[in-house]
Amino acid sequence: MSASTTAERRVAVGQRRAPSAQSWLRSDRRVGVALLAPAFAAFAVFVFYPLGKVIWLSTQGTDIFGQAAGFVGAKNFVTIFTDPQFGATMLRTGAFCLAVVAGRIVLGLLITIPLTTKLRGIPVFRALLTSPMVVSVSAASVAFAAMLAPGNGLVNSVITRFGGSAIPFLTSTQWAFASVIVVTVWGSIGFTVLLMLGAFGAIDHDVVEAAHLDGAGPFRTLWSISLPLVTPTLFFIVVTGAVEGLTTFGQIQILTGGGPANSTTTLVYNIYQSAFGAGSANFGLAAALGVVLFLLVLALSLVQFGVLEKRVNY
Amino acid sequence: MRSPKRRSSMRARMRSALLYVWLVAAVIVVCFPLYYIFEGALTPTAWLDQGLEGLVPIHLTLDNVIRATQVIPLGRQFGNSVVVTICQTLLQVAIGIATAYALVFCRLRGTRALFLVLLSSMMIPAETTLIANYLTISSWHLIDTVPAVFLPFVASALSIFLFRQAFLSFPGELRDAALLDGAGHFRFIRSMLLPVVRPTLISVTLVSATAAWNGFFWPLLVTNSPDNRTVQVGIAQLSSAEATDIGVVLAGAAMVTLPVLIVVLLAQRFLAGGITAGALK
Repeated sequence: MSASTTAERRVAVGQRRAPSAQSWLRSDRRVGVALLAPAFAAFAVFVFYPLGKVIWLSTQGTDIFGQAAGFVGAKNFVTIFTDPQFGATMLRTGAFCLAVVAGRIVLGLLITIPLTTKLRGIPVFRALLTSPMVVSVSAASVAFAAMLAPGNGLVNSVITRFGGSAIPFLTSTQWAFASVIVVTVWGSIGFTVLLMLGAFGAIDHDVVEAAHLDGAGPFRTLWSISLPLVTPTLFFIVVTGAVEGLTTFGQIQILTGGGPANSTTTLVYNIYQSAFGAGSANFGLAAALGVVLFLLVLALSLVQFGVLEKRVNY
Repeated sequence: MRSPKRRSSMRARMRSALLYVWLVAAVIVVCFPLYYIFEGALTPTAWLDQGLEGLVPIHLTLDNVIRATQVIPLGRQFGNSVVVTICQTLLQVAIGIATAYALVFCRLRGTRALFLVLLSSMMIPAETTLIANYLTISSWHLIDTVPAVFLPFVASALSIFLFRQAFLSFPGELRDAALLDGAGHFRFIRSMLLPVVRPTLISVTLVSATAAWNGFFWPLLVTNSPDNRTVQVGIAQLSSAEATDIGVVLAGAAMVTLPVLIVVLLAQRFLAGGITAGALK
């Protein structure tokens, strides 16, 4: 009965539509194209054209006004790859990425796992432990700069109070790099914990319960059940952490300015210095560095897509 | 019979005590900088310079905030950041909705390829393209203006992606029926589609707004004069100009953090939803 009325109604609608279906579809498409235009215009002007332009610039020399000055082939890349400074910068960038990723994963798990237990007051702890999320790179950096300042900084005043000697956290080649890492890891810990909480929360309780009934203790359950189930998220954190490490700028600019003696200059900071640093407007060289950065990020993204694709498939 | 049970409950209690100790220690370490920002913003530098004693908030004052606004045009920069955040967020949300709507509902050919083109833009780091974008903005004579700060970011692949995910779960027949009944595209989006995807709408808005508010590298490049800086760049310069006046520096940090803190407290679950949804791409 009800099936037939639905069918009748469908026929009725079909009849009403029939004469105009073609034109309706056409107008739908016209609207669709118009709605797509702004996004594609914006991406064309500010993402794809600039990528092409940077690749083109990387093959250009630069005159003293910072203007492109003729095709030089791979000269900028040769300059980069034969410069021992660049090798040191790349090693430093790699070490920085590793440290940021390791810091995020280790501290993230150490904070998140206790938060997945059924203790009282967990929501409060969750809110507090994800709170660094609200602090911008700039605010975090100026606050840490104040805390780590050589003279009246909080940390050094506590150290000297207890008989130690002040540590030049931001002004010595031994400490500056570690300081930038600490600030970067702190800045992303809230976000990391949030992601991990989501992953652990999505684990099926029955699986964990079954492991308990089979006599597995909490550590065994964590190691053999929970951690394997959250590996896709851990992997996502590794890749985004590496990209974040590669593209870090604000902390370095505010805390150390790439120094002392280049000890905190990473790839992106090197781009900034080549293109916009004092006395330098070498857009050709900066563009070549930008191409290197693009290839690294592209490789990381492809690895991520490849792995996630695999996960979706099984 | 009883004693093993009691022993196991003792052990459970010990374990939760240890967990609490661990969590409290974690909170102290993780939240300390946040505490220091707000406590320091309201505490005279002379007291902060005492070190440990300075952490006890017993000399509260608004002095630092007032002095910070005298060193740099913090009020003006705050306004610039508000304008940037509103424009960038509105455009990212509007363009995100329009694009996702066209991709999902408008029966266009090749939408899959178009969508992949959009996604591929996520693999291009802004730090690579900013050299060329700087030259573009410069050739448009927009260097040192507020529009220069948000113009390159009016469209966001992430926001398109999230709206598309949400729209895909909306029944297409329902949309056709609404349009056949005479509703326009805009009317359908406003009164049928958006109410259904409200959680996505809110979380995309919050994620966009936070990113716009927190921007640093690009705003630093395209603005020069203190009056056109955003507040994030402003506090960095406050920090280098008044490095020894810790209270003033922290007042700047507190001023840029407070709006985000308030928004997050009001809408934490939506923000969490948006970030996690983005992670699952």
